[in-house]
Amino acid sequence: MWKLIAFRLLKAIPVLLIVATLTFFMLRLTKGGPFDQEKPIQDEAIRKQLLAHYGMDKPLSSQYLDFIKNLVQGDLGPSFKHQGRQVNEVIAEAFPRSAELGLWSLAVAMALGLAAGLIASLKKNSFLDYCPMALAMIGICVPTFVMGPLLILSFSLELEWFNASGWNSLKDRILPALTLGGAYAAYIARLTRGGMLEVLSQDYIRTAHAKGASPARVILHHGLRGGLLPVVAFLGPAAAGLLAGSFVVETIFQIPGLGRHFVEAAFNRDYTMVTGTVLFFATLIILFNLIVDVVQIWLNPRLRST
Amino acid sequence: MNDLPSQGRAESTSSLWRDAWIRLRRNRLAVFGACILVLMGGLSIIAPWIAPYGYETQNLELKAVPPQLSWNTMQAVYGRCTLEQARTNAEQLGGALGKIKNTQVAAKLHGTIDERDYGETMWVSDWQGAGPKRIEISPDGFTPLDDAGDEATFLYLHSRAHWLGTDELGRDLFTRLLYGGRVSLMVGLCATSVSLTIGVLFGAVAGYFGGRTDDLMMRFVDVLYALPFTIFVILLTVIFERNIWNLFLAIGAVEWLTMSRIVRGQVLSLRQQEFIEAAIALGLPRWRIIWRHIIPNCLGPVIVYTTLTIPVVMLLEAFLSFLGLGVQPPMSSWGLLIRDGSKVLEEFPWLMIFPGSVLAVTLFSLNFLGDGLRDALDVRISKD
Repeated sequence: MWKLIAFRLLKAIPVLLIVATLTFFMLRLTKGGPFDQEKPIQDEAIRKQLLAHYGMDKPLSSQYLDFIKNLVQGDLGPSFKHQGRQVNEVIAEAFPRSAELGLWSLAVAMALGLAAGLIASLKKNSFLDYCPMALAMIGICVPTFVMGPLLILSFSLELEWFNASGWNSLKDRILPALTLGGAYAAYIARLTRGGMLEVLSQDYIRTAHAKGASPARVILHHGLRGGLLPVVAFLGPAAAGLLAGSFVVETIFQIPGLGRHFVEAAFNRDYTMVTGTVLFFATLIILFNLIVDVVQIWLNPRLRST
Repeated sequence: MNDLPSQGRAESTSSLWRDAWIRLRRNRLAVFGACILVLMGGLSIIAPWIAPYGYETQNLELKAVPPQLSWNTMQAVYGRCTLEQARTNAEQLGGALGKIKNTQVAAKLHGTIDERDYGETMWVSDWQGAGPKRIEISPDGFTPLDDAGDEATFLYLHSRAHWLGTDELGRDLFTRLLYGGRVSLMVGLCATSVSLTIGVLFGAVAGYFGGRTDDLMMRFVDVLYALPFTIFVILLTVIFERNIWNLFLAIGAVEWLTMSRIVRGQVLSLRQQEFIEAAIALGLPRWRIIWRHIIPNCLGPVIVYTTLTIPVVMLLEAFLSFLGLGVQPPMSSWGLLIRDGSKVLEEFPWLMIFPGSVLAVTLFSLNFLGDGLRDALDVRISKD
């Protein structure tokens, strides 16, 4: 197990390096730089000084080497747009908000999805199956950027239960988490149902029933372990999706999280900020995938030998 | 391929597809989905001919009009004009010459005309749309005049119906939905084709050659899987020129990984089956094995996965448009309409609700059809 984790972490290093290199060159090889916006800087001296400050007066190759050298030390460099601030600081400030949103959403997705999927699989082909599954289909087909405004319209503007935007009180978490978590709840519900149906038809479940285990124990102890495998496998990419989806949700609900920073940075050609956020996201995704793999092995002993 | 298949072979291959077709037709949801898709596709294709307005035609007199089914009064436009000028003026204002059925009723209904207008002449068309003709306004109603060639004092306009209302710039939402459908569906199809081509080729080559080639190619896919792809699409669309072809490429370049894995797995398992060995033993040339045995057997999963990729791609396009990275106004796409609508949700909810529903219904249909195809083509399921 530890060997696997160590091996995977080692493998992550070249991946991150590729990501860093790709982003670095993609940004610099296209036209338009961080200082080319609206009012171009007229004074040549100021412009030169500015470029020198950010190390952009050097040839591209040495810029790249500097970048990698700093990166290895965990330094993402100064932001071009947030003046006088390091990218590390900006991320450290914004990420907790995004992470909190992601966790709430994950909680919503797991709670709703697992419950709906379990009920549907236990009451196969009945009203209690069709109804949650129809809801799940709606959840998949109504994108977050439609769901969010609709929730705002009905719960903030009409009923006035919540604020339409903001990130201050605990109540402000509800609508964003529902929006973001809802879509994932739908996928989880479908996967749970499918996984449980397959497991419940297997011989060892019949054996468990035959040896007199209570139905609850059969389902929760014997069934869930195998039935949840597809869900767990889905959670890795889902974690990435929760981060990506948060761009939209953070835009709709005006939450000053990392997603908005990323989109703004990309628009502004804030090189260091873009590279920083991309690398940060990539690291997170790799970590999530690793955690998912470990959990999968823990749930399914058959995977341990390989 | 120049070789004509013998009769027996043609029957045996087509029966698999016929079985699948019969199973698919029994699935009501899938058939329903297919019908909706055909309808959407058809409407999008003929959009320029059936759209009541141009997609960028603005009518600032009619900003943010709620959905309305009937023709309504717009305005009387003053100024002396000939028949030709009346027609062009009416077109430019996004309306038509006012229709008058019963002169008295019309005069009462449309309060835009009052006593001050008695004795004036105007251009109208009659209720059936015939005309336009010149009439004189008098206290008793309207008196038709014969000399159609002369000038009249003003033209009396009706707006054409805006079935789904208009946006803040007075553009017809129905028209923009039709044109938006063209873009959204086209992105769905084209970007999926890009991803299909890359994915199938990559997967087939990896699977067929196997060994070290396969190992190397699949490691490459593994590395790509670890990249934050949504972020890369955003990056691609931000830094490259924003046109629709780059959008296809950006999305297609991102969505091919799973397809290549599916095809590779399929090809790998096929290569070990007896009928392929038999074909090799028979001394069939390699291209013939690939063409007649491997490709047809991969087609099922590929078709199914393609159908399921289209909604993902369309969603991605809408997502990018929502962030302002997709299609640029005044062109429209469903994602763009949703974005515009969500900004004025409180005041003009229809601008968000209609595009949102159309997108959702299309995604529904694609998913239903995809699920139906999967059930119809999946051999395991058909044995149950």
